[in-house]
Amino acid sequence: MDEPLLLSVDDLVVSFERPVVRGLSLRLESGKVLALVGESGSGKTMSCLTILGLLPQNARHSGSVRLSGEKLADFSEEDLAKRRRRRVAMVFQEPRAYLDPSMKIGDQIREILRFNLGQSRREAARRCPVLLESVGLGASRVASAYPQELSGGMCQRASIALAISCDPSLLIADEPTTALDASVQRSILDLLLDTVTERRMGMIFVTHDLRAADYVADTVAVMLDGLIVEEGKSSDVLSSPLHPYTRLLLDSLPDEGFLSRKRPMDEAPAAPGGCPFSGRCPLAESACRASLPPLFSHPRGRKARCIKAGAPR
Amino acid sequence: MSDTVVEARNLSKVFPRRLLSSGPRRIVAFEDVSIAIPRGSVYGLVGESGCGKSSLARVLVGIDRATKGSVLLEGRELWGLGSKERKTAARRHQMVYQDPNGSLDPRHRIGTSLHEALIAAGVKRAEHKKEVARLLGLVRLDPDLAERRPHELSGGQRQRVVIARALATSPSFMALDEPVSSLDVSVQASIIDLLMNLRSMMELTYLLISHDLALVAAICDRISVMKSGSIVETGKGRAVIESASHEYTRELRDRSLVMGGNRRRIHGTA
Repeated sequence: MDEPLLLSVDDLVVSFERPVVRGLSLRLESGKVLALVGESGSGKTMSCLTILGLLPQNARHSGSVRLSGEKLADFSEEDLAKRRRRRVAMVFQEPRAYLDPSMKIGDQIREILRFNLGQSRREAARRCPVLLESVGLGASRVASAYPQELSGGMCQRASIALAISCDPSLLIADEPTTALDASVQRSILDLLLDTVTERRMGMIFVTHDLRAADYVADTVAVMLDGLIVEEGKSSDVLSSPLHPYTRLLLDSLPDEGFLSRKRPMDEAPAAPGGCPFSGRCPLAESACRASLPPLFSHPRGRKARCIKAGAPR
Repeated sequence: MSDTVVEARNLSKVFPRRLLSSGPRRIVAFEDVSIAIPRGSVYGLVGESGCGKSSLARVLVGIDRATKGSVLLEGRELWGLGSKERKTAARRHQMVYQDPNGSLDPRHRIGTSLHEALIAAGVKRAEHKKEVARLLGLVRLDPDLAERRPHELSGGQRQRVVIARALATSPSFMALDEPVSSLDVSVQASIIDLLMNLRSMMELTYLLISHDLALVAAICDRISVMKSGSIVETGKGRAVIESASHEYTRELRDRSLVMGGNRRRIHGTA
């Protein structure tokens, strides 16, 4: 039998007072990068927290998350924590909030190695510089530095070192470059790609930046209001989008024709129960506001949640 | 009237060492900077964080005073004016910051924040209510939002309020310091569209500070590239970025992300 898929998420629903993720299904193979693209409130971070088993206590969820074929819900709390530490790691948007400001970088890495992998003091001391070098940091200098003594880009590299310290098979990167200066973003993306490729890991790359998604991803899923509205190969989705929302995101990128393009001026709310984009969509008609369209299949393995998918503008 | 709205002549800004700090003796934010911003233009200032672009903007609108050199607003030397005159002159020059959360008082209703700006602008009390509605209308917000507090608004709505407040003094010049970088992509575009509409409607001149080269190239008439406190290159709009005659501009351009540059596909690492 084939090796089970690294990650499969089926019909995931997460709700607080109202649903924030409304039936999400994802597939990810080892060695591949899936970009989860969406704007604030689209449910992308909550989806990731569910995969990590880190949802807040007051959240309710249903659906299944399988890691290499094993169902997350079948594990006890303690078991889950152990597996999560070893197999899934996360890189966050704001590395300074994630790193402990009162501990030197080297101590933070050694602590993780000892606690999660049960390494001895000596083993951890040997492994720590190797990890730092592998993310392009000078081990001798950085290991003895506190996070606030490093630049934002260096902190993000250190947090990537922490994330890969236990050799996870899945890396979730939640807006890892958003808080960084434009001139260092690309080097962090390169590092993430090299890491994922060398270690045959899968990566979920959460972002609202289409340029970053285009740079790293094999496949893209565009989320809006807790739903996937379009998914497919990144080369297809980002060059010829089927869904008008994906189109809007692409039209919003500054480039040569930026000022001459027509875009909706206002942030209009959608009709409840209808397509989440119906309020702003230039193609919307009464059917779009009446009921939520399903995720239609299109050629080349693409999917789009739109009754007018691919219609001319 | 002069055709240059703001001019900087050999400006330098040095911050003295803070008391008891162990850092370097003094920090040079920028040194010997000269720029002239033509009326009606969108002037772009790019550079990586810490290069001094925000400090320069604060000096240009008259919030901070330069250590050396002079700032000319509408052809008049700003710090040569009497304090009352200087304040009147500086009022026509406004600034919009990156983070709308940090620039609106969370305890104040939106209307109150706008009232304060109207008082500063010397608008009569009796006209405030009408003016608040007009300002909110200018930035395409519902006048009912005046009763809300900042946390009840979305990031894009808050940034619109900040722009409305800057418009209260009928400015001729606005320094926009990363005005969209904390916002969602589609909201970024709508704020830029709004700013461009306001510019032609109210004959505004902008200084746009950004680290997004693509954005600056898309909307600016003139662009200056700044590196460690000095301007290394200035020229006409997109051409500056495209021809990138200075090595540093080239470096910035080559390090930024563009659509269609998928590394996995192009280099076949997948």
